[in-house]
Amino acid sequence: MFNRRVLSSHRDVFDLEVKRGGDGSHTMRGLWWPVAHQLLKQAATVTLPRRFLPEARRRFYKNVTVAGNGGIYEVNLDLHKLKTPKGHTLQIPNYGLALAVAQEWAVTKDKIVPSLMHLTGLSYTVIDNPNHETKWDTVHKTLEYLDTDTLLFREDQGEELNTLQAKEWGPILEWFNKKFDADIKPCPGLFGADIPDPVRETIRRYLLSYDMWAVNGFLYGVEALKSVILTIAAAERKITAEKASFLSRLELEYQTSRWGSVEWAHDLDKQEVLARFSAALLFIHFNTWQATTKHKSK
Amino acid sequence: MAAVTPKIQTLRCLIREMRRSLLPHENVRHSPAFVYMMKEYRRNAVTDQQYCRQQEEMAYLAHTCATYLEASRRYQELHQEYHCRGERTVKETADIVGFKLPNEH
Repeated sequence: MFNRRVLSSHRDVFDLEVKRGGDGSHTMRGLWWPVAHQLLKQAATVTLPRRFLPEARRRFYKNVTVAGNGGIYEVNLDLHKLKTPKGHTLQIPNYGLALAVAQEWAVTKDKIVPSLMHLTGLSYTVIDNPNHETKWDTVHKTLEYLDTDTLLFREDQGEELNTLQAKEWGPILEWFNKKFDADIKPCPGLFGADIPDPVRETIRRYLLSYDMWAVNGFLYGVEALKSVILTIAAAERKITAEKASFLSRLELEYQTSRWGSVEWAHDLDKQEVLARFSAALLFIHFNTWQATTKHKSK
Repeated sequence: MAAVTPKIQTLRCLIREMRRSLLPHENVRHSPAFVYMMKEYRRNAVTDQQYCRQQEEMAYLAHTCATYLEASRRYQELHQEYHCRGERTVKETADIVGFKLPNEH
């Protein structure tokens, strides 16, 4: 019955008449998927890749070099310039960062997995700006994590974890409060912390003082650790990257130290968080670090 | 004085990580990353006894670099070890429960 039907419009697909044994037709509303899918594919004007899990590209280059001078450095894979997904050439303002990006490409042995190249991905995001975000937008997104900052949620049942949290997280929170002239306390319960507006604005001003590159690094770091306080502490070099990622996963570490850890899950997760956060930190520091040389007078 | 880890140790870590990334015929001393790193270290070559802000910055940066390289390498190794086997073939699955495939008779 349905073979003869010519589906020339969306309406045909939406309002199908199903004849039920002589009683008259009963209109079946709703998208009939086996056929609608074909129609939607034909109507699609944008060509999407058919396979969503393509085979990873293999390493096609032998050497990775960094070229450039002044404020612009480019990464070359064997005479082929590295380009962002949108097609712009990857131009990095800092030599150290360009070397680090080149290192990421040099480390790949056989398959190129872009999701593991954090610095390259971050550079692509800043240059391409696919979501057309301004610096203010990115800082706003980062600050949204402040309400549910990891350091503010303490254990309320069970003494041991609570004391551990107070011991490890307390000093960082104190430092943060002193730096931003705030009085943020750990919040009980499920709802977010109540951060007063002046404090939020102070932190926003602090983040806005970094340039667009570093601000993207901040967002990446905050998303890795789910904590604005820890990211800012690490950016100010008060704690190392390992310590920051350890503090962010404090409860998990406590539980695994008690119940045992599973290598293929816990260790993998630990290394991933650490890799992401240290990449974010590198991105921040390379883009804010300014070297000045003072020569001895001869 | 406020050095988090001794700088020589971080330097050794960084060189070790860099050496892993090279193809076998290359020498780590010729790679631009190594050259840059040694230049930066020598430029800030003040002893550990004295506190110098720029030196602190560079030491922290070197430490973060070493952390990043090590963490991404370990992640790849763990992933390779535990999650890269792909699916079992039909024969393997049958062998687990002791069945024989139809064509085998």
